[in-house]
Amino acid sequence: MSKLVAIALGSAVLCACSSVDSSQLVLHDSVQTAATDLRWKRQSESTVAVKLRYSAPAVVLALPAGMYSAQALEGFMPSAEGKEWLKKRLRGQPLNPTQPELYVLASRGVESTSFYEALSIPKPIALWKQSDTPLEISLKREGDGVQIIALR
Amino acid sequence: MCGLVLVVGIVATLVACTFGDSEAGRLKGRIDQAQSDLVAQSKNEVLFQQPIRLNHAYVVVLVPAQGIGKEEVARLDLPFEAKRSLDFQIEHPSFEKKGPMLGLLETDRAEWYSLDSVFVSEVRYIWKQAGEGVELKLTRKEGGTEITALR
Repeated sequence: MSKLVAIALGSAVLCACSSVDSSQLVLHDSVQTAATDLRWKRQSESTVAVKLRYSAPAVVLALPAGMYSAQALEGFMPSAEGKEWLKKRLRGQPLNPTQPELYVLASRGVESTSFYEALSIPKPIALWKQSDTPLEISLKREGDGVQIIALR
Repeated sequence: MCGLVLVVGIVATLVACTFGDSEAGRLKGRIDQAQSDLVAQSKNEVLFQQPIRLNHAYVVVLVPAQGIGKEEVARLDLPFEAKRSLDFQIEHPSFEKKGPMLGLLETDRAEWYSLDSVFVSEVRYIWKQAGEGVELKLTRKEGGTEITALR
């Protein structure tokens, strides 16, 4: 019995000390799980809805690995308001993801998540998100992998 | 009381491991049984269905004794995780390889068996969804029994 208590206490301490913020994992894990599902169920497309950590307004960027100047990033943004927001948030700084990456630039903070194996972003996508509805990410199966093809 | 529960748990686990109490283990056992029946009944072929009790998609793969190359694995119409698992098993076999291999691949795990009672002349695989079973055909040929269909 005392061993059980010790194990439970140990686990609680480990959990408390863990530096991983679970809310950061929601976006990554939701996309990854949906992509795995899509691959294994042999579907061609699916959409995953994720509640974002930070409230709107926010700019969401889906970028393939590469080097993007602030100006180039503004070029991907269709909305004039979104462009202004990006300008304010980036302050001329580039983004250089080394893996396909999703960025959420909100007023209260920035969230980013990288994707490694079997999940790619064929071309940069930018979204100006003005409401707190979940972010919808459209996925497409391509060969043995999955692509992020749209944000809404 | 706790000790008794622990002992029963360990024994149950050992029994499960020994007799392959998994879907892959059951499939392997069914293939061996079908091969024995084929010989005992002097038949030329046998077709059987095997239910696979998984609540998610899976892949069953048969690899011939001579193996398979990485390039061939890359060309298979399989999800990424299944290819990775296949590659890994070919590079680092989890048992002393004697004959063809039977694999049951899932998103986050894979189970492999060496098949010593039958042979496989080419890579065969089937991609199934939750609740679907598999169908296999064994055919007696010169030199042994071959798995000639996997559906």
